[in-house]
Amino acid sequence: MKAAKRGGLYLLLGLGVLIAATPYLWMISSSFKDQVEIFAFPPTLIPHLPILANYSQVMSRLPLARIAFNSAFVSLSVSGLALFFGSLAGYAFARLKFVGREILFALALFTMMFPAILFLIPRFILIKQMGLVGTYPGLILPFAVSGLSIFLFRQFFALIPGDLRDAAIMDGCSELGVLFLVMLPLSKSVFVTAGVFVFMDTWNDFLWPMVVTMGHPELMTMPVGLAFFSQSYVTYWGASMAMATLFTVPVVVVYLFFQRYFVESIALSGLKG
Amino acid sequence: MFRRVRSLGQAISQAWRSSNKIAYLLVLPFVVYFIVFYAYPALFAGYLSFHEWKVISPDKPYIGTQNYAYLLTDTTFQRSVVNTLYFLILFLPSVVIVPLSIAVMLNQRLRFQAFFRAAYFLPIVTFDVVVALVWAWMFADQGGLLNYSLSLVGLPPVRWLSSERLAMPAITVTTVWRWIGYFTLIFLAGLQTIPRTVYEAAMIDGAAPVQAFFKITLPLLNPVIMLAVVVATINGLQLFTEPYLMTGGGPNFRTLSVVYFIYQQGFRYHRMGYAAAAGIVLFILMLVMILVERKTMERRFEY
Amino acid sequence: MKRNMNLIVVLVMGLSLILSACGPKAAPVTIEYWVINNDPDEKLANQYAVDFMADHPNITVKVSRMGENAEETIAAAVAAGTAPDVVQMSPLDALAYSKEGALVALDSFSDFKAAMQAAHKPADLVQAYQVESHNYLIPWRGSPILLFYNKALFEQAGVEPPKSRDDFVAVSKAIKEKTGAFALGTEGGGLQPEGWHRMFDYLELYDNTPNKGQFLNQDGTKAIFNNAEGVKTLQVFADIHQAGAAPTSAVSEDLFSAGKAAMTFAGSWKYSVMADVGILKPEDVGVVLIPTPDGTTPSYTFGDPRDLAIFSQSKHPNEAWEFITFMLEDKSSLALMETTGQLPVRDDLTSNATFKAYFDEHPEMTIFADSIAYTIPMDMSEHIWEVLGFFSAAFQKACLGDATAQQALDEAAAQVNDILGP
Repeated sequence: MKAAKRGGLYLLLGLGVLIAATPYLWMISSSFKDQVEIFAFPPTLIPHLPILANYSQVMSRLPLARIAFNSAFVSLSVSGLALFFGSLAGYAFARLKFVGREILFALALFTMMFPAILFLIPRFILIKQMGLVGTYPGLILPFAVSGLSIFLFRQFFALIPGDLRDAAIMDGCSELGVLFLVMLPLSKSVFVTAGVFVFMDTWNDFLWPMVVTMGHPELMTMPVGLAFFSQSYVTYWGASMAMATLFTVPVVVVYLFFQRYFVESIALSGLKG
Repeated sequence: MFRRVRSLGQAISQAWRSSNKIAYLLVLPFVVYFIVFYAYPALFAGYLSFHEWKVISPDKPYIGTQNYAYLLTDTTFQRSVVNTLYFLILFLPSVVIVPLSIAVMLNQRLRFQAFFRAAYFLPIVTFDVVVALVWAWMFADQGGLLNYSLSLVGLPPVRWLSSERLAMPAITVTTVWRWIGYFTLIFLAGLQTIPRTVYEAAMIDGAAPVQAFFKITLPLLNPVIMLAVVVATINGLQLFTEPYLMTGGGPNFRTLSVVYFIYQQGFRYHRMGYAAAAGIVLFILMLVMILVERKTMERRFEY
Repeated sequence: MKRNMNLIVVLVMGLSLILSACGPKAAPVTIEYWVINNDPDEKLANQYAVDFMADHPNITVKVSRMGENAEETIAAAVAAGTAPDVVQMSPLDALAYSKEGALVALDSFSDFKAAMQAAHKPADLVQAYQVESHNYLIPWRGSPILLFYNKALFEQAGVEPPKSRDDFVAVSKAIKEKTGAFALGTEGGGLQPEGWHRMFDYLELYDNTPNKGQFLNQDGTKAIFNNAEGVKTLQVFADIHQAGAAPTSAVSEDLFSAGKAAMTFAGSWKYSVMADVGILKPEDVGVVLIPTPDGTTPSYTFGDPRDLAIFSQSKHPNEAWEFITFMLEDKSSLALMETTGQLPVRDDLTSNATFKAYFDEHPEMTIFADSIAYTIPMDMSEHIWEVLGFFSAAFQKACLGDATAQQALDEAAAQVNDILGP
């Protein structure tokens, strides 16, 4: 009985994997195909005649190392700042009492709710007045705090029983000490979850970097570079696939590395003990 | 009356005294960020909604509530609201139920854990352009993969993205696919905060797994589900990329979302004031929805 | 003697002072030039920059390439004050930008008229480009849109390139029946409602009706596209789509270049696109004029022009103008043709000796050059994008068979009149 159930489980999950992974795998495969084969019908997962031309087109056309650095630097900076500030604020909203707590938390939620497209021009005018057009801070600062990150941390910290903090304080820990030494380490899984959201959001963001780095090609990020292949009269699909592959495979690898923290950080049951 | 004001003042100063001052230090970065990068643009948008601004000229003549009045009669705007709500009705349940199911399955002791986790992560990493390309191809009227599969079993082709009725559902499928990874992550993280001891106790008491799930797991997951619903609402109401890349808002404006409408009005037709008004309306709509969601969900899963 | 020497010294010093003040101002200036999103345009712009800077050592030209979302980028830049000096603009944006004072009136430069004549710009085109009797944009380059066809598919279906509207429909149906391939593969990629797609299918046929491609009446206050001829033109496309001869949803693949569609409405840039895809060679395709209602000539079409403009925010409008006049010179025009495969907007293409070698080497370009005299500009209306949006939704509806051509166009006309109205 149990084996059948297990088998059914694997089957279902396997089907899900197929649906989830196929577009991505097709993308990698297409990066080695010429335009004709990319659109072959029915589509092929293994290229008939693999070519490297798409990759050489991408590498000769764009300063890939520079772009990779820019994207990584900006996304990591934004993630780092957003996670750090988010965890701090989330903890305060969840566990500390202070005047204005509810209002400020509501405002944190509001930051997620406003249609982002309307922010483009006012934020750009702001950045220009600060003299940050075409600079890294200009790319990073408007996203340095993330309402979602605050929300996720707050939800997490709200679930932790108060005894933990009380015990630590009785042991002689300061308020901040509790935060940095006890709470933050516990919230590893939230760091990963929130981190994924914030990182991927910045990584994929096209419009803001396009507007801010216009005329400053040394700061180009990957989505802006990718858009070069969707041109006015032709779209170089092969090159787009190649560039997308080059930039996403490292992200997948990094994710595989970090998601181990999921398995290890569970032990909240340690709280009861 | 004076006594009431005095006691109010006393209450506030009491609250202030018992406030944990460290908290202010912790939320300071957020407050600064909020004022500079959120309050200013948001207030600017609010201000704009009462003016007319052609973007490429600095003139911003004041026109009072004209924008809002016009929005009420604008059939395209009304359609975009209906479209977006239709999308949300399809999107919300799907983007909670499917990832939750996957997370539950992934939470078991399985082999190839890492492999499965990586696979469900892939939709997150796949680029907008690639997602649109693949799914538009999936749903294409001629030479589409879905219609091809239908023909293999002898069924006639279906108009997906070119049908007024099916275009939005097709877009929903694409969007749910894109978001599966994120929500699976959230639910997995939530599931893993529930210690095994809880399940073990339930088993000893003789509960069947399905019962255990509905009576124990779900209520315990309530805050996470609440979170997921809120995040899904916020992102769902801001639908833009998929219709932009896959249908151009058609057919017959049936996949024009509110944000797409805002984009068109502001950046194509240079009516920034009008676009800002539509944005404010969307914001208010979102607020109302989330309030309603919190009220309903708190009541249902009261534990 | 000494007094005379002193006088001479003073005179010499005074003279040299005056002369140095009258010399050319050598303050270094940088101007920014934003080009549209494609490789040949960027290459050309960089070439121009190098050649121009060689002749003007005090001017630096910085070339930047816009992404496909040029509207947002330009709008944000203008709003924040970071707009470039010179920009390539679509004529659809012409009226909006001109009327809002975002562009410099180019006819305010003293040598404007001379420059237009030296560049052999068609006089009536320059006239048509005027907004409130000023010229804010110069029609610079483009390619008349003509009908490309796949010789092999035509042979297989046993048909000739169409000359009349009815021919066009008949040929399309025949190709679908006899070869199974699509008859029409549009440059936009399938049937999509975004307004600009219509510039590469409907507009070309519509240019040959008495409306001459205008969607609105003379003052731009009423829609006129739902008249009898407009409806007949839409019917052509409705018939083709409903016969299955054209895809009814979005398509990412370039069907014509892949040999999967027999015809497409495209400009001279199609040759380089075909070369990139690598299946069709120039001799595999033919190019004919746009089908007219009854099959007679002359045949008009859309010129798909790109215009040059100077933003009024520019701090160096004079240098920007110098750069523009440089881009209009004969040798610049030649470089344009050689690098991008598109044509400068000039009426002396076939008569000017400088270009003779080019046309000898590229005979397929002659038909495009001859058609420049027959191109019609689009409506000058600040609402043109929105008008096209409503029109395009109607176009899609009729082609999908969800409404008749007349119904769809009437509905769109009502929506357009609504936004144009008082």
